[in-house]
Amino acid sequence: MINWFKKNFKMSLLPVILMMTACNPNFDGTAHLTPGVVYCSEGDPTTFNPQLTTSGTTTDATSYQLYNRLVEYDPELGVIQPGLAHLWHINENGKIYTFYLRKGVKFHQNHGFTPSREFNADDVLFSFNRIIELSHPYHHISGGLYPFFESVGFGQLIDKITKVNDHMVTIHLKEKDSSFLANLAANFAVVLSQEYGDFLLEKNQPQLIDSQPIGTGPFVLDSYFQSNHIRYKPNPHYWDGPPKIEQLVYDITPNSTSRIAKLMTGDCDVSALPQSSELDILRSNIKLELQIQTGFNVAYWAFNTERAPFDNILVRKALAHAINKKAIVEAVYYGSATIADSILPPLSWAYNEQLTTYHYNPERARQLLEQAGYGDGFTMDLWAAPVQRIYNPNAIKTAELLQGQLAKVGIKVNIISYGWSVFIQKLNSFDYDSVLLGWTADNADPDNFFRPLFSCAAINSGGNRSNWCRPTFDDIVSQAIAETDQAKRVPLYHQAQQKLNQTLPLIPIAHALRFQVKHRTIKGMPLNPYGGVSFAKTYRKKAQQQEQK
Amino acid sequence: MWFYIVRRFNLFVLTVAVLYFLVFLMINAMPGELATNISGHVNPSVEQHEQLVQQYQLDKNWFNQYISFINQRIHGDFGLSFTTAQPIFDEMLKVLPATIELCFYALLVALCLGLPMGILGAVRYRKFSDHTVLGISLIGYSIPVFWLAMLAIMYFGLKLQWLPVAGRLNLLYQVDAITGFTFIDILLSDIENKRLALRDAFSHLLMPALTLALLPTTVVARIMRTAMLEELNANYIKASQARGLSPATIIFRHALPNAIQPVLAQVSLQLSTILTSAMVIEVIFSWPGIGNWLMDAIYQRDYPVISAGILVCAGFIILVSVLSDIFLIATTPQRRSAVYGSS
Repeated sequence: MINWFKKNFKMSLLPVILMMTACNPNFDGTAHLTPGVVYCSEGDPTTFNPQLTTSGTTTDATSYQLYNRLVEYDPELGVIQPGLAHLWHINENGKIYTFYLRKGVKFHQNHGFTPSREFNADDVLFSFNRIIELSHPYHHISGGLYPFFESVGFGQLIDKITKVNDHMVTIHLKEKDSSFLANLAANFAVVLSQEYGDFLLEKNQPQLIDSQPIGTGPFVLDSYFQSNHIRYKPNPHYWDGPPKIEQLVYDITPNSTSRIAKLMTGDCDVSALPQSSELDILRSNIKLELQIQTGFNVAYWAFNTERAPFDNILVRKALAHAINKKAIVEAVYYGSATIADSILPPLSWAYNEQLTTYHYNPERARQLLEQAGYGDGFTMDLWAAPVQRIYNPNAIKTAELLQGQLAKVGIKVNIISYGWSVFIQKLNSFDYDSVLLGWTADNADPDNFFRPLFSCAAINSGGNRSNWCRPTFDDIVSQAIAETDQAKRVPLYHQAQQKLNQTLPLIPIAHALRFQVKHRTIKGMPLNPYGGVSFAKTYRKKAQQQEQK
Repeated sequence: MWFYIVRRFNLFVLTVAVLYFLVFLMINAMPGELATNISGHVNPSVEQHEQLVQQYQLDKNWFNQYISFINQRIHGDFGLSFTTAQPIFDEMLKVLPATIELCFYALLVALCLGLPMGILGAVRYRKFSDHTVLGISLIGYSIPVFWLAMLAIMYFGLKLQWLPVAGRLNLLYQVDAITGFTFIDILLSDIENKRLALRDAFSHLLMPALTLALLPTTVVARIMRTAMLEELNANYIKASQARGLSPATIIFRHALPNAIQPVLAQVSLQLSTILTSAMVIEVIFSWPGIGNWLMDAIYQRDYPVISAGILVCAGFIILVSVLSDIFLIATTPQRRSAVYGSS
């Protein structure tokens, strides 16, 4: 039987081989793409209006792509530059700011809305009145919280905003504020379209203003699929010259390893937040370019200071001694960060070098706990988001390290985590014992580290995660703001840091370096130390394009 | 036959009832409020809460709750997702095509490779080719799928850079999800260079589908080989040999049709294995299917999604095994005697 088959074996095998090849067609692996840039981002934006948030992921996806500000911050020169206002001046007492608006700026167009007029003073009034006027028809749309603006006291600071003519606006302040212009240049202070606002009110769908955005920026939002991708089309009428790419896509990839894999295989061109552990691999890849920038950020561990036992300063000090920041910097950041002793990064001109350092000392921690009456330890919740942030590449791992370190002083830690948007939402109800978070500065002014994080106003706006309110501290910071002379501001900020260092509403953990990784062919993407990625000037190098063809 | 189908159907209903009961117990054991966990309404207002209590009969005893739970679920109301506040059923419809697509191609590859391998092994019984087939299938059967996927990503993706390692299509191709199946969507869309897009979709599919196909391929090959051997040793084959029919005719006209029927039925039992591995593969290759969706849900503690995922996946597997059982009996009369004998 077998022999008999053997004779005709080849013939009977032929169809088999045919079947196999038919199911397995050849693939030559060099498929190529339509021109455009794909950015691997680390998470979903919570909204498409940066006014409503302080989350870096959201501003990355919106601020510099969809919108403009009155003035822009130039990270390289460290100065404020013209944005939608091409000129401005401040009167002698520092309270009246006059902005001369750019002419010929067009707003975006989407399927429902076509702008009939160009950008003018009404749009500026609309954008800022939405934030400061409680009676504004749009104030309470999307929750009515403007965390950044509340934290810097925008509403209390601005007396009135007036339109002088179509291309001239004056802002009257109640008192001098040396950080006002810097705050107008922050990622959050974008200009919306008043005409679009009226249009949506008429259609009775005002909430769409934040989910189907209209701005003046270099890109127009095309489509958004949650947890998947965001697609932008270039704005052909962009006042600063239309973008040089035909398409911009944000590929939402929360997993850092996947982002690197996508980058290496060409599914992405630029990637956010490479992990410190991956830096060596990235450096060794000749196709990729790693950009490094000293970051103006801090990762911290905030306590809900209104809850027992964290209302007790001894407990907070004990916890400060119980954690080993050095181990965290090594294990979580792989050394690409510096240990933080103050909330302010050492680079800042206001940094206080005289602060007490809380060294890792479990023995001391146990003594302090005993003094506070918690000699037997306690159980606490530690909230950490499973999302990579600029200031902390892996909050969960940090939480696990803390869990281990605190176990040694008899404190049992439950780690609690949710997806980013849920996490931030749940934080607002102050339902936690402690939380691992951080802050990335929006500008070089040291004020950006104090008022948004510690002022009493920031409790409601969600920046003050320690639930810590001290009017005396607010006074110091307000004084520092009213002062325009840098030399006089320094001692005030030193004092503020000293106070934080002694009362410890939160424990600063580390200041992370900032990284961005991209293909060498992608040009025109400087890394901004204050966060916020911009594709307005991005292009692909020509030579490479021809090579690919 | 009808008697058998009724018995199977009873078994199906009972198993699903137990499955629902277990999930129902699980939901009760989850931390948080029952009304929230069962419906997915986070922080419901007083009226909403009232309505939920009505809907799920939460004020009645556990049995009523259980019955109304089943009632909601089989009508397609799986509640809302915690993270997106969208109906879970709609979300599931969005991710399901990706999984079906992946499984379909994997199964196709498994059949295209596995059947010829099995035939080859049977025809060349105890020869070199047979041993090769057995050897390959043993190796393939033993390799953990996640490990193979990782190796494939490292070698073909990162080292050689031949194939993309994540997703279904390069995002620069703007293809709207109409059916949810990439290839069909590309053909339906109005983009330029469809050919490039199709090729890109194919290159994205290749690695996950092949990795996923490995295990079923080996299983198919082995089943096919056994069935074919049995058939080739039957008397009617010897008779046709004696009459001088050509080997190709004997194998493809006579032996194969008889051997393949039970094989196909048994292959459908492999669907549960494929579905399980598909979830792992989806996570590794960031394939936006139901496995990825469920993993995300677990990560975010999205209890309604987790429970809905369990219900649907397990329910699907139970359904398929019952159907394939019936199909097997219907197509192979010789097995019926065993069924009647046991009843």
